Amino acid sequence: MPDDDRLPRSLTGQWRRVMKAFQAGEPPEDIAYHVARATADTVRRTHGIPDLPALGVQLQQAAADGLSGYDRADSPRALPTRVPARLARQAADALSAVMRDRLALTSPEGAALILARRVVADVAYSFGLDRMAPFLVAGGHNPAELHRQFENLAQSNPLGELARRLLAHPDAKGLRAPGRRRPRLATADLMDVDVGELL
Amino acid sequence: MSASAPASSSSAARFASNGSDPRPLLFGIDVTLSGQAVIRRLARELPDEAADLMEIAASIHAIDRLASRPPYRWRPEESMWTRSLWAEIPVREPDRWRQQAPRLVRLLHWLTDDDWDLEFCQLRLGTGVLDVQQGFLFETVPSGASPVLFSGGLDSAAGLAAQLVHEDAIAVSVHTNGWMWQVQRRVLAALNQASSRHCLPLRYRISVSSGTETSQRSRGFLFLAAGVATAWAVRQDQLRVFENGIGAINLPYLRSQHGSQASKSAHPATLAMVQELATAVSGRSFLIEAPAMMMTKAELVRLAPLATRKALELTVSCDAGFSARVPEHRPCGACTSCLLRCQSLNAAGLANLIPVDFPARRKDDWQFNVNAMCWQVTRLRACLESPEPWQRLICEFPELIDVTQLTKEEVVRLYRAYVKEWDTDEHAAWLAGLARRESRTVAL
Repeated sequence: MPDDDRLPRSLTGQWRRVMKAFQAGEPPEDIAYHVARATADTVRRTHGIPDLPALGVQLQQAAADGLSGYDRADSPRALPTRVPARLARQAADALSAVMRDRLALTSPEGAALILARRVVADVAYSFGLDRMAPFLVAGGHNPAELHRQFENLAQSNPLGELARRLLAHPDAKGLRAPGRRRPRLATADLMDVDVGELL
Repeated sequence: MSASAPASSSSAARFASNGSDPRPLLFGIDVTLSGQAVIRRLARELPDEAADLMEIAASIHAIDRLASRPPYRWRPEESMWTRSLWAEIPVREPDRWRQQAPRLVRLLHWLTDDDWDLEFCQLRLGTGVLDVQQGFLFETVPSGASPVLFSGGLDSAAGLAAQLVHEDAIAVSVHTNGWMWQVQRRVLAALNQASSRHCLPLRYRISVSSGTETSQRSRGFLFLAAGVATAWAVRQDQLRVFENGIGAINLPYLRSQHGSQASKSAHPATLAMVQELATAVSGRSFLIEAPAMMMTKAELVRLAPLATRKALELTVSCDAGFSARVPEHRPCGACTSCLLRCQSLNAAGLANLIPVDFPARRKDDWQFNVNAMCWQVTRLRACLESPEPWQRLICEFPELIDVTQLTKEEVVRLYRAYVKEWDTDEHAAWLAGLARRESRTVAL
């Protein structure tokens, strides 16, 4: 039963910047950049997920052996009390439950990347997107449309690249989001652009 | 942690939190537990395992109230609200409980997110708080009546009302203050008045002095322990718990909630673990039935006969509704429990049972919580509309992996029914009406 449920809603400065981007109706690619920056900041400050690569390999190995990485007989499983590690274990359990066949056919490195992408998205939801959702809905955002936007963000290139970087450095020391890429302009077009817009 | 070698026999529990020095937990001073109302009705002492279970549950509840969790702003961003708790509890049969300590620790970790280390020592003869010195008159428990957990909330009252159509019941309750008992007593009186069958109240009283921690995640264990202990005392090995599936599973509204931030008092896994514990302790198979686990709250409320509507109106759902400190004991109207109550009554066609002056004193909380609930429904809807709803649900709500007691089809049906309740025109009108009233409240 819901009984004095606690709903964490505080946002760090980086995540407040993301919320402002939503409120201002900034383009999706700009929002994706802000989300990747905020997520990188969160993963860095929460000291990463050191056992992420090993967890990915275990996930693939279990699938290849025809096992589910999650044994329902052990339910409920005791999960870590460090939030990023907890998210990783929950993500591994969920992936194991729903895509075992696909994981069995992929390489251990591929499985680790699938897991890393999922975990990075979960960190973004847990520390930012889901916390701001009720505020954005209150501000007039359509919940279904917002949900679609969030899903697109979770699949966006900046978060995907961040997942690759996290997998390479799972302790997240020095982890940075990929830089913002602007479309390259032809020299002729460049002549007509205001210098201020390029900065 | 082992604070020191256990004493050979003792009458007081001891506990320590986060490596602090052990301190005594004294019944009658730090915590009060009374089972006199039960014992008088039964006209006999509680069996040893029942008395031990109740005293363990009361001790754990008291420790849960007395040991503060680290404040949100002081703990690292990546940390949950976990505490490290050690307790040594005197019991009548320490060997029996030492064997079950790992099971109990696992249950408590699941309920509270805390790391528990439990030790049991011999209780000094005759010093248990549930030991009885006086003689007995005669038993007043009707034969054949089955024990049902009763909190004074909407679910347990509606379930009890439905049960009383067919059979007598023993309503087992725990109250922590006079107001809570008043509510439970009035609801039971109204149910008895409206029913041809009889419901006998058996109640325990517990209070913790100067408990500062408000999360109280062990409360579910306390209530279930009271139910199991009473079932044993009336020589039965089953207990019925009426809690709707949506509330019992209690999926996080937001992904920022972790572990027991979404409470798990009546979660199917909790019931299964308590059932296992009861079976292991007694050596007899114990059954906890949850007949409403596959229903939404609205579906459960609809089961109650028309004649019992007055009783339902008297129930309290608010998180702070049983607090003795709330002026006039008015529901806050803003917590998720209040909002789920309103949603279910509205969906059940009983909007007239929602008080006209239902307050929303905490505007920010009301707005945030109602939008968090809408957000969860949006996520559920997106999953259920996909070609593979179960897979999508598991990915969106990995907590569902722990619901092994229901089949995939049952889980999907349950959430479909819940989302459908939110999608009706009446529901949209109710939400809009609440928002209008809220803005009026603020304007005033």
